Amino acid sequence: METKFKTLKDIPLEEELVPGTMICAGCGGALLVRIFEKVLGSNVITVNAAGCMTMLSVFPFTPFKSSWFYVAMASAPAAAQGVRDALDILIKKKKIDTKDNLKVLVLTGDGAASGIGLQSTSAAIHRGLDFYYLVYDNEAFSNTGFQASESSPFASATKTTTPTETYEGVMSQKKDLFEIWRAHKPPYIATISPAYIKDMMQKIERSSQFTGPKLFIANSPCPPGWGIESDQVIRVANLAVETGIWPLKEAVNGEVRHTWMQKRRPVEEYLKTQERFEHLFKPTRNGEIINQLQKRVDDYWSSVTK
Amino acid sequence: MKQLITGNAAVATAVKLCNVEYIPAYPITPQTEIIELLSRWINEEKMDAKFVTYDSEHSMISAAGAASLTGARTFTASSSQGLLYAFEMLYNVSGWRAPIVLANVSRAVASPITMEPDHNDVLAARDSGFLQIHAETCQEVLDSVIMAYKISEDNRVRLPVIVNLDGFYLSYTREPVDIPEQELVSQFLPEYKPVFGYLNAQNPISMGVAVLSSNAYSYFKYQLHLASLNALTVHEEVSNQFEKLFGRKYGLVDEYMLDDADYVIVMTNSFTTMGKAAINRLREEGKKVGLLRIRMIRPFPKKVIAEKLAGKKAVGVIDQNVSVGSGGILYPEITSALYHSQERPKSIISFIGGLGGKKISISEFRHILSTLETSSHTDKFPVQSIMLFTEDDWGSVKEMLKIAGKGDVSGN
Amino acid sequence: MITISLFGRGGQGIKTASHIVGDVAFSSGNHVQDQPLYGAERRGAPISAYVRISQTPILERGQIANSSLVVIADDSLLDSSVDNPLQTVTDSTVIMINSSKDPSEIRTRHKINNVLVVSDLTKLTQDITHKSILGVAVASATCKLLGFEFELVEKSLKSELKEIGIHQEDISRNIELAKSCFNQTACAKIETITKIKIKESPIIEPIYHHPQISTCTITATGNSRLRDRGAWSNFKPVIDYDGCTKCMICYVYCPDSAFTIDSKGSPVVDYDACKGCNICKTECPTKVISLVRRENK
Repeated sequence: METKFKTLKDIPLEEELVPGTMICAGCGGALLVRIFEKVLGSNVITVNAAGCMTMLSVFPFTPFKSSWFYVAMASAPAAAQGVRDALDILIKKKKIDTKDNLKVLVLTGDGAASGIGLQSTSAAIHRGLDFYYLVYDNEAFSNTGFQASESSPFASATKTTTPTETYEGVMSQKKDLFEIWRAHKPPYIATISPAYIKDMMQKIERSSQFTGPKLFIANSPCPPGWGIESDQVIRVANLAVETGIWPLKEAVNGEVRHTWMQKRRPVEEYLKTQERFEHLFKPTRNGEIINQLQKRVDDYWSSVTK
Repeated sequence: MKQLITGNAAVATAVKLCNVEYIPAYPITPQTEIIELLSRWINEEKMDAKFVTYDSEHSMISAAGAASLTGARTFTASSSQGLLYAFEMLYNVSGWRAPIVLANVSRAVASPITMEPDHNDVLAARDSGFLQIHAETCQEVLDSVIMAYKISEDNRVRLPVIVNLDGFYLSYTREPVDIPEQELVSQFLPEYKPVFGYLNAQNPISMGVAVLSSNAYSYFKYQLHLASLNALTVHEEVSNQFEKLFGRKYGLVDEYMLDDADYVIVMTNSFTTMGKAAINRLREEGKKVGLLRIRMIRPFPKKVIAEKLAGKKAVGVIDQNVSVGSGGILYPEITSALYHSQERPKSIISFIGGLGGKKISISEFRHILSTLETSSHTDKFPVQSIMLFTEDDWGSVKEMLKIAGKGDVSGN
Repeated sequence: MITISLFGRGGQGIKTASHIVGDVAFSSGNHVQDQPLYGAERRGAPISAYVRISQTPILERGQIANSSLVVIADDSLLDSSVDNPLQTVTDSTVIMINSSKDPSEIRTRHKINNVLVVSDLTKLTQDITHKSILGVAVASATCKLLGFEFELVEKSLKSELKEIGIHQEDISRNIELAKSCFNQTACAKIETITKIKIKESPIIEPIYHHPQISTCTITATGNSRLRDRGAWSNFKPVIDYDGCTKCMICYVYCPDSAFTIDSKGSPVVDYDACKGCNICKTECPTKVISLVRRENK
């Protein structure tokens, strides 16, 4: 498929979100939403589940030029289905014109997507809902102050998994949302990164040829939660990809293809950048856990052929 | 044209007559017949609507509100556990001012889990912002669903409505129902054409937004309350229009032998029919007793209730529900409506009966009446709700407890 | 009762400051009530905190209506009509502002006739600690104003900073900072709130409005520009156009849509929109973006 986005300079210049939100300075998620909405263009309804991005629209201000609908934490995909179905009914009955049609985008964090909202997401994918789904994965329940979610990585510190002398943070493995979704065999799934904007734009473009669920999980560095300076967000996202911790891939009708397959840097380089992993280095280096994390990444990539 | 149909079928028929366009569904006993009928009619192309089964009632009601806001006339149905599962979304949908109609087929709430009716499910939603109309007969169910859309879509209200019908006693019970002509219903209830606030590309809108300032929140919530109170007058108008076209009139309350009654029993929903039968029996025995049925629960028709009960010697309220730790739910709403009335009855007493669908027997009605009589002669006013339970009831429960391994349990 | 209202921005340590002041007052044998108030837990977003100190049990809660002492940790808040930190000021309120500006300039500009203390606490904080957590400086200066002893400040600091996970070497530096601020600030006469003239507002009866008005929706789309985010950070990016290759990387990576591309293809910063995350500076491949301390308008 020929792409409109050959270089970064092909980025659409129209802003679908105007400035002035109360999202944290340097938020990875905010950048992801900005780019995603640019590529989708106008005539979008963003259906949102409770999370950081809920703060985009706070009465009486909204940054959206298109429509926005905040629902609840568990049921954004269900509400999206209601909107999509009603739009189709109105268009079929000619109560609204086809030019009044809207693209439906569900926007949630990892907390909603991988836990409380998983049920309604699974059902929406199962029904073949024609929608886009963007998960900004900042690996915790960030809006409430950064507590552990099912997406929090092994050995990371959060407010509910504060490391101590005998406790190293989250003790479960990060839930593999990509595989859970892929088991439903939707037309399109992809992982994206704010450090790889061209890759992101091309993936959104590729997904748009399909009718049905078009699902995206985005690595979303969070300055206050991850313990990084706000200007380091892209650097850290870059390292997540370059260490192999955040594979960039897509699955078309269940068939996986990676879009980044280069020589990987040691995961330690990524871990060192964030305070949420600081307990693995201070007061002493925890070689055992760092090796475990490295091994997990190595095991993943050893089974990747494309 | 009269047909013998169940309460569930009456709901489905009304939905079809109202040209509902979208039906998000989730099955739960005793409501399933409603969605089975509707989906069949749609598949048989007898009805032009979209039917979608959702993953839970919480999702279902989210979708119902969303579809309604987008501009489609929407219907959904639930019961008991399902209604409670969706609980937070009830408040959301009313806050969104989405004019959906939800048929609740009342069923007692777990634990213990049961299939029989009482009103703890629907009354739990009383604060949610949904209007509530409670029906006694299958005819009333059908008529109320049609009226509900008209009230709901009125811009003086613009709130979702629950029409409540008792599980089994109405939902699966067939009664003669006069089914209105489609043309007349279409005349009464025109096509749903929202003028504002519906989602489309021409008029972008941000909805359901966070409100962090407390004075704005208070404002929005007061408006919701005022909208619900407006429904008292809108219901009256709609009810008059309904009578003109269909010949049946519904009030906020329903009276039975009330005028010259000294003692009044207040009830709601289908068990009222049994109450009316008891009234007949007691009247034959020379008792001047009557019955008041409350039909509109939200908004609560305080003024009308105060008028109807003025001057009565004593009133017994039968709550087919219990607010655990307090007593009947409707009882305090009724007494507060009467508190300042010059002619309020000397005594108003709370009774709890029919929980989990337990039949209210003639012995219990007699007991209610004698309690009322005693209270009007003496100063014996029970403070706590009287729990209606007979020796026969206890006898069979005692047996079951024994079988369940609890040994011999004494009742008192 | 003495009421203290503190104003700052998320990330500056205002909540910590209110806890320290509260602790110090409490360990001096007073009844104390302190609470923060934030709309959203966001770095850079306005945050306020309230401390009540009394000899007798405190029969009040929530936002303070009339302040004995107003402490403004970020002078950019003074220019924001939405945040308005001077709202609770009465004739007898003492005002302390963290600013590098001249006190008389502040008085004139904001029409302040009260007792006014101006200190450049930001500079003191940066001189002593690596991390510019202002809260420690603010707390210490506030306690001095209120007439408390330094030992209590030091004690409270140690436990509060340990509680929020600050390392020992940073705690010592913060104590040094606190001492410096304490010594630099003079005591002030802080009045109790007793016979203050409270502004009252009559009750109105709400009337029903058409749901188009009374539903929480926003039809004025894209209106968040009305919110000035420009004051969220002290440092702003400035582009040296001589070295700019128009690669657009700064434009692409800005999370807040604060860049536009002009007709010549050059990136232009909207300083009212820029929150100062400085991603653009870090990502610029030719390093032509530098950070300059923001001046108030």
